[in-house]
Amino acid sequence: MLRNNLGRFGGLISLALVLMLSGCGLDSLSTMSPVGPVGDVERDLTIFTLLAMLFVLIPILVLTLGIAWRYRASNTNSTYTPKWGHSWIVEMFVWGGPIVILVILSVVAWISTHDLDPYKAIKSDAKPVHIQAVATQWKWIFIYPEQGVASVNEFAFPVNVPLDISLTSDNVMNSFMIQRMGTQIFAMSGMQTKLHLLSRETGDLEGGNYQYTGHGFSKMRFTAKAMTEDNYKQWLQKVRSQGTPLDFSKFKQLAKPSEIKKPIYYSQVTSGLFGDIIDQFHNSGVAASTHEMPGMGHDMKSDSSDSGHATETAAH
Amino acid sequence: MDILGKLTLQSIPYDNPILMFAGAIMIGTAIAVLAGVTYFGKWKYLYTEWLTTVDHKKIGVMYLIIAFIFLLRGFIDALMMRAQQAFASGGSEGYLPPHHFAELFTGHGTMMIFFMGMPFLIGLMNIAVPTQIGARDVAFPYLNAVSLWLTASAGMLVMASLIIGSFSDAGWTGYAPYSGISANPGVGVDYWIWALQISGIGTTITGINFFVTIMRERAPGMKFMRMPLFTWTTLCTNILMVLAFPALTVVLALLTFDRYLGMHFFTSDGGGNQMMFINMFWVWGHPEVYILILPAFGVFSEVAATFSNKRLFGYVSMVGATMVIALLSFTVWVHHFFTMAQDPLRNSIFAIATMVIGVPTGVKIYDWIFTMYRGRVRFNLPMLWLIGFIITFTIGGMTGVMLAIPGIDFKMHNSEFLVAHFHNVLIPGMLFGLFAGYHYWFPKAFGFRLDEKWGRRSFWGWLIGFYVAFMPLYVLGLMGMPRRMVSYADPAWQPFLIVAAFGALIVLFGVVSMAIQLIVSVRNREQLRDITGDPWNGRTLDWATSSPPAHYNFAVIPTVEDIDAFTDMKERGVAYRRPDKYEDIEMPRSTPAALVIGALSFFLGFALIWHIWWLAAVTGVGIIVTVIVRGCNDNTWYTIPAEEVERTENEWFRQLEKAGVV
Repeated sequence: MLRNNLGRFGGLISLALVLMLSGCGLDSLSTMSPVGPVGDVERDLTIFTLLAMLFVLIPILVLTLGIAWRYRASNTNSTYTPKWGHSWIVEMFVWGGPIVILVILSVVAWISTHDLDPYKAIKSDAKPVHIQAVATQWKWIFIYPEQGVASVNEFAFPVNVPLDISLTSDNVMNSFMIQRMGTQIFAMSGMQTKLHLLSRETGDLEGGNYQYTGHGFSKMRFTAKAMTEDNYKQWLQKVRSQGTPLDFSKFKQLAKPSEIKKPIYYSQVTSGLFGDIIDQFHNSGVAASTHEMPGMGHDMKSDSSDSGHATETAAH
Repeated sequence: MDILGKLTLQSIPYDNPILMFAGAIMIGTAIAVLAGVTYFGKWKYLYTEWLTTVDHKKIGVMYLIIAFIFLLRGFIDALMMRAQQAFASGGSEGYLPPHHFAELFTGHGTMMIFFMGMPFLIGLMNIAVPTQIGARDVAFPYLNAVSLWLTASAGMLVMASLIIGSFSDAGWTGYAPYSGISANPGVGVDYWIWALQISGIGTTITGINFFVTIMRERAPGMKFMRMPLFTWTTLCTNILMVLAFPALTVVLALLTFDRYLGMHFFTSDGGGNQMMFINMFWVWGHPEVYILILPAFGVFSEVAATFSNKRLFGYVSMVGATMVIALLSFTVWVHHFFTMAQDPLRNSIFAIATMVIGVPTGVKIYDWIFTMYRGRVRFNLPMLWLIGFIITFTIGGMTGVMLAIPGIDFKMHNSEFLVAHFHNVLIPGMLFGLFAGYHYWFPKAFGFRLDEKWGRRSFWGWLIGFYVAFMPLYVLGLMGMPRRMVSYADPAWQPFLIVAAFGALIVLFGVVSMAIQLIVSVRNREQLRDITGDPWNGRTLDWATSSPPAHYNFAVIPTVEDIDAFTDMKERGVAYRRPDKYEDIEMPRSTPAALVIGALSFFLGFALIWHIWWLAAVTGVGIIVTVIVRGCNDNTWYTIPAEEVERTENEWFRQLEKAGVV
């Protein structure tokens, strides 16, 4: 619903914005040239808020400079009322104006935040692809549990198919984002977070970690490859044929601090590896069954089911 | 080497020429200062008049000295980061190794907030608040000195980390589990923890002190709704300090338990919860933003009224807005981590709470503008900083509202856009306000004004430099550049970072101009002399004293009958009125106890950082003994006899007569 409203508005303003940003152009602003529905809403939201705030900014700039100049001490022609310090009309405007803008933006914030809930699945006829992203020092590992493969620093997926991404970390806190797809989310050890994305366009998209994690942080980037269905199938084939097996102990080898330049492929990924990575922080018997992660709202609790899948997210 | 804990010769970074060079400058400067004091035979003066003083005015000046030292250090860090990012593009790694770069951004944030911003605003409070409310000192002068020396000793720890060991690389927020012992086994995080703990205790004490001072020490007639705005914002700030700093103290203490005792509050394993660290940190951290900004708002309110020669517009609104901001500052902390996967209900609520703060802030901005309306605006330096602030801060507020909306924050969080935003609010909102206060109250503290010409150069350097340095970062954020990158592959980012680096150089011009301004002003102090104590046609009681005020501030405590107490007295012709007879004045005695506690705290912190347990025990006991010994001393006040008061006052009245004021 918000998408539609903003969209209608967006038609008008995108023209204005192109003019405004002429020179650099939206294409070079990766966060403003989205390839999917999440990014679309976020771009429109950004433009809408920016314009709404210009209604605040411009009067303040004009009033400040205008009044300061008009009532400069050397201009003795201007009215001077040294005792004047209160006016109900002015007070009404200075409180009322911001409140009106607040109400508008609050409605927009409320609707868009619910729209953009990263845990919410993206509506599509296509069957979603499940991907498990694991942050290690300083690499991203993408596990495709249904295909039994994994890749490092290369994240391939088909276009126009919703991506159902689960995230965790092998050590410290990381933050995952592909700018042109939108929405970043933390990846945290011993916990699972979720993110739903979709790309309409094929191509290589920049992705990376946004939360500082030490020495190799700057190199913790990856390429998100949005592919046609056929190319994606070929990619899976390539990973299967080139990849080596990946189990928990090999994962721990891989997870040791290092930076890599070229992607690595794995085939025959042990089923339940993602859960084991989460569970390594809860494996002290009692702890596994009783320790809830008091996350806020999205239940990030550790579930001690025998499969080792530590976290299943309850719907909120 | 057990006796020195973890400390060995390898702890000194011989192999890092940059650190060694910086360390040499630091030690060289310290030696030069000590040598100078010795050469001029000023040790006794320094000890009796400054190091042991409990006079709020001198304590304020010492806070300002700390603030300016750390402003320089923090700024040098910023220059180095800008230089690194300007070069480290497309395969080049720049000149800084990643760890050193991380220490720079951690140190920059930590120093600018805890050792520049906080001392600066507490310094201004010390200089202005007691005189604004017509008091002779703060409620607890000795505790005031303790706060100062705790801040100084914490600052010394940060300085020591430059050449002994290293500082934290976990960012100024020190997020666990990265700041935990398994990811970060070095002493860096411990330096960060203990420096913050020690200065945090000092700040909490300051909060209590000024809260009581404002509640109890106001001159007769100064009801709450007659308090100057700076006193109001100070009051709200100090309430925030008292309420918010314990959260920081606790979160740091729990992190300390994790690091020192193997506990699991914030670890990944053992039932720890890293999300709790972030929550608790920002429960302190967001009010802290307003602790930094509210005093500046107070300064701006004083400046707006004084330099418009007009009553402040919307006094009641201003007071209300200040209190609303202070209250709401506790309700928005989640906006620092919308991306931590809370459900949308929670994110929405905190988003709206965040935007609600925009309302009283907007009201304040309009009220300053309407204070100028139908006034007689004088463009002295404080006024320039005010106008620069309103324009720049409104832009920062605009991007703040954008980031307050989770859908926008989702892609802007942890990017250069965020870096641009918080500099865009803190530099005008805090620093410009502190600079305005510095220029405004400098004559009160030192007896002469600051040079206008170099002041203007400095202002333009800061203002233009700010835009050139930070506007490109907004664009970089929109281009998807994460913050805190030591190097990057995307060549499209480089031009913007080069422009930003150039902006930092323009700011450097502002910083250098400010230093020159101080030197020029000291040299020309006779021409710039403030004879009357009221150089700006001030409106509040702080301008009713001589500059600098006598030790006791007011020979006779004034009676307040208006918001603009001093303007009112001048209009009624009762300003500068001699009493029939002077009386003896009781003032607090100087004490070395605060200095001793500060020095011992430094060694206690150092011992805890390096696990030198015997030293920690000795200094810890030493602090307790000092507190007890001082507590048993009943002889803490002395009397200034009426004759001496009369002599001092007569001297000032002679000046006033010469100036033709009376």
